[in-house]
This record gives sequence, structure tokens and C-alpha cells, in this order.
Amino acid sequence: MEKEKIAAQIKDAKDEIFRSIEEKESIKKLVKSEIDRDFHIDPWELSHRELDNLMGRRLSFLNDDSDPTPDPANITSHRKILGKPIVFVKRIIMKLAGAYTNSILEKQRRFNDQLVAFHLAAFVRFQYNEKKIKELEERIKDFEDDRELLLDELKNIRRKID
Amino acid sequence: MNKQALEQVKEKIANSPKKSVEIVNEHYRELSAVEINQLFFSILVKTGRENNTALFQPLMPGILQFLKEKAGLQAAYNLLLRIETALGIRKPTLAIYDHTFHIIGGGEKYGFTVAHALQDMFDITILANKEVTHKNISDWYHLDLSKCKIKIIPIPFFDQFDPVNLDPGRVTRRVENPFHIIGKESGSFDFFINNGMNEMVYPLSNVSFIICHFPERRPTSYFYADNYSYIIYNSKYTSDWIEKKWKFSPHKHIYPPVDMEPEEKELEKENIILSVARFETGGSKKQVEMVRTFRKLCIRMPDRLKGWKLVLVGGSHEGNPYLQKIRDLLKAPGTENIELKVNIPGDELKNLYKKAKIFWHLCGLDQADPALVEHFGMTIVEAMQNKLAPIVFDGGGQREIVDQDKSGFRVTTSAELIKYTLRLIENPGLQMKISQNAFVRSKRFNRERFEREVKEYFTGLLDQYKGRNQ
Repeated sequence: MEKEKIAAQIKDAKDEIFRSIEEKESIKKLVKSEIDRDFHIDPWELSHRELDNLMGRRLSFLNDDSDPTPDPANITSHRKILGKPIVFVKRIIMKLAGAYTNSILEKQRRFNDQLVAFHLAAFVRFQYNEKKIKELEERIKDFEDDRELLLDELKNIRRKID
Repeated sequence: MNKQALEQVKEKIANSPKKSVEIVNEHYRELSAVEINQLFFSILVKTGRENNTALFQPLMPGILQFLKEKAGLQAAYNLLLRIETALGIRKPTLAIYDHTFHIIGGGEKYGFTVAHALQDMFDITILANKEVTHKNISDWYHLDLSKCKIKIIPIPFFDQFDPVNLDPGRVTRRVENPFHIIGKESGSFDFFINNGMNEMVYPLSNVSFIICHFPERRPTSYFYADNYSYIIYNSKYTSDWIEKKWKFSPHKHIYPPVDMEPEEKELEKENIILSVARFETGGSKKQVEMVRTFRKLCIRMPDRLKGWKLVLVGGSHEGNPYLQKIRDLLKAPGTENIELKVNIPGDELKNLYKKAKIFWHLCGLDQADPALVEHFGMTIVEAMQNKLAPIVFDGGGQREIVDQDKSGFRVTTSAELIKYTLRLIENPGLQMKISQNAFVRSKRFNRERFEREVKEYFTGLLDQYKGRNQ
């Protein structure tokens, strides 16, 4: 009887908490702490494949971020009533300042594009070289196998002669 | 908190249980989250086991309120889950998740066999992202998991890429973590096992495990492997790389289950060199190198190789360029005694294992990337269970399976492969001895041993969870 009472009390409490858990969207809120961290990557520790992936990913990020021109759509406000006029004023200021900043940012954008293109070309060239090295390694291996076969055959012939 | 101080807090609570929350609050800064949970768990379970409702009923809401405010809703919920189990109100629950459960593979077999071993001990739910049925599991792995429930939780994020193979590598910090849905689900269970070495799943259960078959990714965006209570690993090779890549030590070593021992009587052996490995697109299993080596042997030493054939068996998807490369190679002269068998039925594979004499496995050869070296090598053990003499690459988990010159040979070059193959072909006595030793060695890796180790490990942890010593 007492055990049943305890079980019922636990069940009610569980149901209540479960409902609240379902309402909370993020894990961060459920555990009341920050769950994500930043990690430092040391490129010297990475394998060739990992380096390739890293280079490819970073190139893609550089490409996505190459245009530094601000987008007016990014200006938002969390304030319910004052938000709209604040956003309006900020966008006006951005337009006015644009007359001075646009030429600098455009120059920066062109520079970034060139840099991304250069890195991509270097990456492709690097891949070609890797392929060539692999082919050469294969040929060396082939010679080594042949040497092993010849040595073995030589032993065989010697055995027969003896 | 140091042990002595913790004992004093415990004593204080034992003397005035009604003031548990106040006492813990007094020492809140010195106590860890685990210690706080343990203190509350102990007092509630003690009063619950004594059926002391007069104390339990007013005490529990205060504790829950304290936990909700300080550690979040999940901590409060987890405490209730643990008390329910400890008081025997219900069977403990366990969820096992793998984002690749819908694909046949060794890692997936590992996870399902864990479920098979534990299905009487726990109420188990298999969590998958794509359709997988009890019949699939039975057909693929001969495992009856009828006592387990299966729950499919789709992750639409991956549909824009490859909808079959969910690749966690697609997830960067620039997108919302699509695996949080699984993390949230994990919080409904007492125990949660993440079988897919997918360290992007944040565990919320009381006790959590990540089964690591190899640490593919380094700590980067959404890395939570160190939030798990325990890391189980499949080989010492994997353990070394967990330490190198993740910078912490795993907890429990359990070799994978291998069950290819012939049920019926053995067949007479034929002059077959067998290779069983998936035809990986990147060629990491090295079938091309095997073809080249065997062809060279046949051309240069036709007399010594007379009557021998190489059979390459493996699974592949449609339009695999690596498989096409092998097919093209097999058009060349000198490859007449090489057979290619793709996606063959299990019975045909079993027969080949029974008939072959030598087993080749070169995964890792000329490989600079440790992830592409065999992390364990289940097919090597399958071959050894069928009394084949293995010649394998000297690296990765293969070193833990094959003892050099005793239960097989380990090689680092194709030249060495040639040397040991000729030695076995021309010395039937040696071949018999190695095969027999290999068979004995293979018993270290069978399914019976695996399930026994899993049960023992989880029984100990479950006792601890239920507070049997409280």
C-alpha cells in the first residue's frame, strides 16, 4: 500500500516534469548549462585525408564569407514596440554610410575573391601532385614485388642445381 | 568535495533527512553534480525502501524543486527514473541508437548483439533514423530481438544530401545540430547506448555509453563524447586512437562478436585463397593490390601456382567505380584464376569459407590514414573460425587477432605477401598447423564470449545504478 503510494507520487511528478521537458526546445535549457565548446585543431596532428577535408571545408567557408558588404536584412531588433523604428533608423544610417564604405568594401570583396580563387588553384595543383606521387609509389612497389619474385625463383633454381 | 567532508554531509542528512535540501544547499559550491544526485538518491531510496511515506512524500517535491532550479529539468527527471528502478517499480529501460542501423555492417552487428545480450535485463528500445525491422535484423545477423521495441526517428536535415547514408561530417557549427532530437530522446531512458560513434549526440540519460569502433572525427563542432559516462571500444588500436584524437582514455574493451563457425560438418579444403571485404569506393580494402599480386604470381610462377585460385568476395553498391576498376583488371591475361563474387548470399559465403585454405586481408597496406586501417577485422576471425591460414596486413586491429608465425602471418608489403603465400602453398604441413592454431585463437572472439562479457559488465553497472549497496 505504502509502496503504491510512493510509486504514484513518483509517476505524477515524472508526468509533470516530462510535460515541461517537451515544451523546452533546447538541450542547453534542459541541463541549464552551455553544452558547446570551441576546440583548437592542430594541423600537424591531422592525417592526409583529414587535411584534405579541412582545406576543402575552410575554402568553402572563405568562399561563403568573401563578400563583406553588409546586408540590410541582417539588421533586426528583439524589441516589440520600439523595434521597427530602431531598425528603420539603422538602415537609413547604413545607406548614408554606404556612400563612403561601399568603394572600400567592394575593393575588399574583389581581393577576397582573388584570394579564394588562388587558394582553390593551389589546392587543385596540390591534388595533382599527390596523384603523381601515388603513381610513382605504385611503380616502385611493382619493382619491389618483381625483385621478391626473382629472388625466390633464384633460390628455387639454386635448390634444383644443388 | 573531499571524501571526509562528503561523509560529514551524508551524516548530517542521515540525522535530519527532512533538512536534506537545506544541507545540500549549504555545501552547494563544494559538491559536484554527481555527488548532489547521489546524496538525494540515497535519502529518497532509503525512505522509499522503508516505505516511510510520511517522510518520502514531503521530501521529494523539495528535492525536485531544488534540482530543477539548480541543475535543470533533466536532472530532476533522471532522479525520478533512477528511484523508480531502485525501488523495483519497473524494469530498467535502455535505448540503443545508431544512425546506420538500416545498413548491414560489422559495427551495427555489434550494437544489435549488445541488445540481444541485454534484452532480458532491460526494457530495450532500438532507435534508428531509417526503417529497420525485426525481420531485417534476424535476416542480416541471425539475432532474435523480438523482446526489443524499435523506434524510428527521422532526421530530415540529411535528405538534401544522401538520404540513405547519414553523414555526420555534413554537420558544421553553421547549422543547427540535427542530432539533438536523439539527445532529447535519450533522456527518457535509464541507460543510453550510442553505437554509431556519433559524438554529436548529447546524452541526457542517467548512464550513457558511446561504443567507439574508431574515433573518426576529432573534437570539433558539437563534440560530446566526453559527456558520456562510459566509452566502450572494440580493439586496443581504437583505444590508442581515442587517446590520441580525443585526449582521454576509454573505459571498457569488448572485442566484437564473430559467429561464422561452421554448423554442419566441414567440407574438404580446396586450393583457394579467399578475400572477404566490402568493395569500398576509395579502395581501402586493397582488392586491386591482391589482383595485381596474384596475377604476377601466376605469370611469373605458373608451375608453383598451378591449381590455385583467388576468390574475391564482398558487398558493393550499384555503379561502384572501384569495383569497375577490378572488373577491368580482370580482363587482362593472367587473371583467369581470379574469381569475383559480389553481394553473394550468406550460404555461398559460408561454403567458400569451408573450402578455402588461405585468407588474404590487406586493409591498411600503404595507408597513411589510421581511420582507413582495419580497426578490428571481423572477416579475419570468420576465416580463422573456418580453419583458413590468414595472411593479413601488419597494422590496426589485425595485430590483436593474428599472432605472427603462430596463428597466421602479418605483412607490410605485397612482396611479403608473396613470400608467405608461397611458403604456405608449398608446405601443407605448415599450412595445417597455422590453420589449426588460427581456429583455436578465433575462440577468443566468438559471440558467446561477447554476450557473456556484455552481460557481466552491465550487471555490475545496473547494480550500482540501483544502489544495491546503499
